Amino acid sequence: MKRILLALVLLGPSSSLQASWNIFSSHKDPLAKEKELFQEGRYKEVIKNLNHGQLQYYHGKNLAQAYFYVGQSYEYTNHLGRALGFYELGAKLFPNDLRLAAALALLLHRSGLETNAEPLFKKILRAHPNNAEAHLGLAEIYANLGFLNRSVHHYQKTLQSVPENADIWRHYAEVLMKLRKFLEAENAAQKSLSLNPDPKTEMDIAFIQRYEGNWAKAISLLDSPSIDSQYGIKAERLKGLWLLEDKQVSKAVLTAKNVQKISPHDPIAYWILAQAALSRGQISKAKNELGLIRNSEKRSFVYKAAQALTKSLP
Amino acid sequence: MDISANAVLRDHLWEDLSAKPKDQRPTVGLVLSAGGTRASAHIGVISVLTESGFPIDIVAGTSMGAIIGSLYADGKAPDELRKLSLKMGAATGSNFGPWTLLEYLFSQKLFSSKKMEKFIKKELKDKRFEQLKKPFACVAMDINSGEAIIFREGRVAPAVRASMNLPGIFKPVEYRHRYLVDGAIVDYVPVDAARLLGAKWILASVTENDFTRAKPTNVLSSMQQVIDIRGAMILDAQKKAADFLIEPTVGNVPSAGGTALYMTPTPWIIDQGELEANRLLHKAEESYILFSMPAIAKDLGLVTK
Repeated sequence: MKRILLALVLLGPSSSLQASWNIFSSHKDPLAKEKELFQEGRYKEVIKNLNHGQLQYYHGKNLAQAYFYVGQSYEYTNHLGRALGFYELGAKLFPNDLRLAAALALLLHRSGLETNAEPLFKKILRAHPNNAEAHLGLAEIYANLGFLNRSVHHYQKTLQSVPENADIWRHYAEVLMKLRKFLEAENAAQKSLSLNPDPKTEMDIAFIQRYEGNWAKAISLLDSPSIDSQYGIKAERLKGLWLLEDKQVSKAVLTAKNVQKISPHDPIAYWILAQAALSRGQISKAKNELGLIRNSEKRSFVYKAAQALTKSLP
Repeated sequence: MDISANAVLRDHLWEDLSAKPKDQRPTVGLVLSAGGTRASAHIGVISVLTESGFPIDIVAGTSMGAIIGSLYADGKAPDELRKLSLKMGAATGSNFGPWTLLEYLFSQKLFSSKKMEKFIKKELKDKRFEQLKKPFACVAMDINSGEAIIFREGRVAPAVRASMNLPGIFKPVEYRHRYLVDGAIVDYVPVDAARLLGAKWILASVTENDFTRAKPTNVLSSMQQVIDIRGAMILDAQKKAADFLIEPTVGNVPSAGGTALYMTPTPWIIDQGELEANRLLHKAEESYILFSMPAIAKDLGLVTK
């Protein structure tokens, strides 16, 4: 999702790179026809018109633009390997062409090749230090790789230029949450929510409240209709665990039973019931519930935790 | 936000476990291996662990792991460690210079690592082990007996110097009636030192040399290579003794930083530690949770409302 967001921002009509490119290409344009086809979404025709035989007739900026059109056309028709090949060749032939660098960086980022994409976004920033698209690319890459402080820096730079994008605020909040900067994370998530109500953001806020020890608020957020419609049973079992953390054992049991009505062998429901039984001193009942978790995936953490807890009981 | 069954249960148990006071959960030991320049990746590992709130109660290190470990045990933040390490060069820890180099080449006079002691002394304000914020131990080798000497009391600076005192390059350090050299030869991953301090669950950051592909180009890197090979012979057993391993992918980095005399950490090496620690963070949390289950179970029985 994040990568799609970046794609929209980076290559959409509002892109500053696009704007600067259009200035260059507003003169007599030998690629006018391909540009028109491209803008009309007739990508196969663009590819056909700009085949290897045709490309040899273009030079300089026109050739760079041709590589860009072909790369984009391949990308939009889901031939990502070919798109990558054109971008790489184009970026090698025209190392100063930032639009090709950006397209290549984006595709590498979308493909999860973060360490290859990173230097390209940095290159764009060397030429345009405030380029929001490149900052966003780096923010997402660093968040994926776990360089959270660097990610925060680039999200902040992005938000200076794009302050009204709810998704960027939400992703920024999630990075702050991982850094356990809960106050800042909540501010960012609230900003996101004010721009566009989204159950994912509400879920983030519920987690922030719970990390800060505000279980009542966190649990009430999990009860909201929007979270329920988006997450369903997953939100319900989370609620069961958080009720246990808030020492509301009876309510946790009821929640687990609700989960079991929808998913009879839910491992978290068994865990909640086991933990509730332990809190009441019912060790054999707890062991029984934990034993039922054996039905789930044996290599999973839930299964291993159930086994370890069973071994720890008298 | 990952709300899969595994993620929510891990988070549920982790929030409780990591917030427990030290005496109510198994003591966590962080062990930092030797590895010369490669070992600066430990800084990245420490950075991830501290940012995520992973409890670390005890620290042990050998050689470069001892330098980083002592500074961390004294309370230096990962950012400070990063800045300090990037300032390190040949002259930080030795009396390397044109004259001493000539002496080394023509009269086989070894360099001195006294400057490393001064560096550590300055950074730690000449503290003793017991004055550090976290219990810390480091390991050197007695060159007369081949014993691993674990330091955990007295002044920190000379012990750390002894731990990184590369034989064949630096003069053995005379300390407490022993002649001491780099501990990596006998205790590359000092899990035993952390156990001695009381660690129950040990996370080891290991920056092993992939010496099968290395081509040492100078005296120092050849010496370090020999130490790494010797270390590798005992490494497997030490790795098995740890409860969780983080092995940053720095095996292809020369121990002595290419042509430089000693220790030239780079941001790239530190980043490799951060990358690998991030990749394994949740697995490390899960490992510690499973190990701590008796302590968790004890608490679960007390939950009532």
